Amino acid sequence: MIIRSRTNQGRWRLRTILLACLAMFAGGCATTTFERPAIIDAGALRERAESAVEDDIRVSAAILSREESTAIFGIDLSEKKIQPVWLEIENNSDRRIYFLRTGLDPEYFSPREVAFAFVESMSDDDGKRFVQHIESLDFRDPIDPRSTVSGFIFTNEDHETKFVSVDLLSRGWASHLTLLVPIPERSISEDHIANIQAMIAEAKPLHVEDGSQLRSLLEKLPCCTASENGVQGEPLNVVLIGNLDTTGPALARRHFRYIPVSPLYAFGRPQDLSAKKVGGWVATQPHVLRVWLTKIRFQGKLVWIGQISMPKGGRFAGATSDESLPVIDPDVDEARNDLVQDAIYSQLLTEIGFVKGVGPVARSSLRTTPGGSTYHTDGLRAVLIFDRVPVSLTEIELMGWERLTDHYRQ
Amino acid sequence: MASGVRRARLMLTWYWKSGLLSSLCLVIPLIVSGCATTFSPTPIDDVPFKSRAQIQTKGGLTVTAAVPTSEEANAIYGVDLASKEIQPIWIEVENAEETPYWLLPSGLDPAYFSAAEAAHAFASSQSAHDGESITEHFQGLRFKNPIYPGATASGFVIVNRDEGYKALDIDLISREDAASFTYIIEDPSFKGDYTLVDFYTLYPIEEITDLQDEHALRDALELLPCCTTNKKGSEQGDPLNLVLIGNSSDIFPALIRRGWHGTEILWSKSLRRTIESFLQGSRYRYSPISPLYVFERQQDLAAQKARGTIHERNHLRLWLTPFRFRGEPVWIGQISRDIGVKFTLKSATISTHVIDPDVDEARRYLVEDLAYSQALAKLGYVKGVGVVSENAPRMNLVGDPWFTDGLRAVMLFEPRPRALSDVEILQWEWPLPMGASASQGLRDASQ
Repeated sequence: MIIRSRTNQGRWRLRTILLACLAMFAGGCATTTFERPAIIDAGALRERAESAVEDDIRVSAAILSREESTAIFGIDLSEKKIQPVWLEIENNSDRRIYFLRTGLDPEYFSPREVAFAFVESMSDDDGKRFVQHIESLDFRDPIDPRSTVSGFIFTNEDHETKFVSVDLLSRGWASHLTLLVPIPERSISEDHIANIQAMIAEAKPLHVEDGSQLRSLLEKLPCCTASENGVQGEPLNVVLIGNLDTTGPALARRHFRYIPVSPLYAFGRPQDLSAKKVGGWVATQPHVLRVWLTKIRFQGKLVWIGQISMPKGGRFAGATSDESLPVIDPDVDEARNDLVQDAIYSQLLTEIGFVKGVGPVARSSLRTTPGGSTYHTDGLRAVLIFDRVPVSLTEIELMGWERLTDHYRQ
Repeated sequence: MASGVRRARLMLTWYWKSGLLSSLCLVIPLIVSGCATTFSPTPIDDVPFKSRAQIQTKGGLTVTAAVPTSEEANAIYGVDLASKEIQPIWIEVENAEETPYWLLPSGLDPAYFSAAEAAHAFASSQSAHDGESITEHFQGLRFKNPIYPGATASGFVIVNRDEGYKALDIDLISREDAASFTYIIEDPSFKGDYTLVDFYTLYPIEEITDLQDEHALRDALELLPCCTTNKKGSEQGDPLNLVLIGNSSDIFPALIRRGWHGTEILWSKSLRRTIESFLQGSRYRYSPISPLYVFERQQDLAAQKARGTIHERNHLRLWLTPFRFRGEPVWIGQISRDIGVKFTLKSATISTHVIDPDVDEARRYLVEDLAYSQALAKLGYVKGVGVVSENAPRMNLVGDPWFTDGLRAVMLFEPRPRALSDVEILQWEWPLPMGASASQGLRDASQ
């Protein structure tokens, strides 16, 4: 008897929950109307798109502004944090090519999923037309020899610059291209990428071909960041070698996002670029990376020097800590070594090496920075050389420079 | 004094009657463990987790891995790691090679925790002294690189907690070489789908056909059932649109590497969590999946990959077939992309997912996803259910429409790592270009 009454109670509880859910659903029913927009001119998109050409294949990509999105889809997709990427691939080769959309965004939306997010609030007729419309705008594989395909991929929102990573596959053949595509409504006023490209164009570069010459130049770079008035700070513990279109996506693949952070100084200027490791569905160690472009060009590639560290407490730091200049975890080598691993798993790393940097700072005699952090380190900087060809774990070369193992044996 | 005791006793009775006591019973130990005045971890050798360790050897490298349960981890670390959704993995590497090796914790979990970071979760709420000893203890337990020639190194890497089985990718690199090890380690306390099925005895030996030839494999795969059914087998549901072939230690880590997780069977705790995650749109990774049937039994294994919220996730169900290909198990399965949730009385979970009717899209997603897993060796397509057009869709068992080109994707797995360009294509069927019938809404002004 008692058991039965409990079961009934359970049922009632379920029913209550169900009703509550249904009420939530009903509450969500605002009405949206859909008018199929007139046919849109892709010419304007193509004109401002970023493009790259390789192996007889041209890839162009553009991100829509809200206005354009509304004009093309009939609805502003950014309401649901969906960012459509316009992609055009011109194939002048003899291969039939497939585009891997998972490589662009592992959590991309299918066209019908995009539609589903909005149709709930539409009349049946409007909903049907909306689904058809979204489907018709989808990017459709494959790209046959000597043909061009264009359309949209529905991705998750980025806010500043989108690294559009394009993996193309054919029988026994793969190719990778990356485009840095500006986002029309980005929140920072100046276009960092354009600034950097201008800086690269204006620089009087120091060309280096030889590895040992590179090593001695890297060891002469400043040891540390500085505050605005020149007080020595955190160690410059990484060197990234590669052009923007390889280092950018290598970091992006490992969940670094281009995010402005508080300034630290080197060469008398704040960092040229900064990134935070934010993670996808699972949060990652929240490393902060700042990089400065150096004058050095190694075998034609840009050489960046940088500082990577983790805010003290990482993902477990309380929300109370000062966001503007958080105190860093004293073991800065930990963050550096994590970046080395990320570089390895990006599949775009060809060589790793270590050179002398700030020099050893013992755990027992921590050094203090102007921001109020302390740190200890083995004193080395990691040197990571990137390339655009896919590299597997077994193919990465280690340069016989400073041997980390010797440092740890002591 | 006496009246005080009596009053306390009265209050206790009152609490007990009002049901408050039972909730207090839950709260008090939490508080106590949260501000443990005596931080006293158990010495690692007194915790018997290593009895479940797995050992693999490649060349001169011997790698042993073990996963402590939540209780064991609690004992070793002296704090409740599981309360922060983290867990330690114990690894021992014996290096009989001539060069030093480095373990890459990122391979175990790209979002692993540094010892200092994990310690911070517990140390920050402690007195300065206890906080320091916690941090020191965490540092002492961690795995320390490098592993010198002729030496053995062991310690813990702290990763995001998984329920059920833990797939471990252990990558070691040296100046000359890299070595990869993959393990699947089960958590005895998890009630995943797979624990219901004994794969070894599922088919008697005489029912198993080991195919050697690719043509014979293709023929066999085309004759497998077209679709899932209901329990009675009287109604057909979703199409069986994929086949996975390979050793379990290659297939399942590949899925896990790409963020697929096992699902809990339907039991009350899990059901409650599904409802909670439905209400909050939160991210419960292991919510159960409703049963579908093939070979007169429900799925042997189900996995899901969550995206933004519970409303957006992909579901995968697999059944072991009586076939082997060159000795390796052949699985048939079904994948769908959930694009939202609706209520139904046809499923025990009350709420069910609305699937994307273009089921080929989900199939394509899985193929691409696994192409990045570093373990996909071959890809091909064979005939399955046959063409079902968008204009005359079929319905699955919960009344969702679906349409398809009718093919099933066949994926063969081998030990990683394999590069993207190394995926071999089987010259069988091939999906028609997706755009074949589509009218493009975007026109070029110049056309």
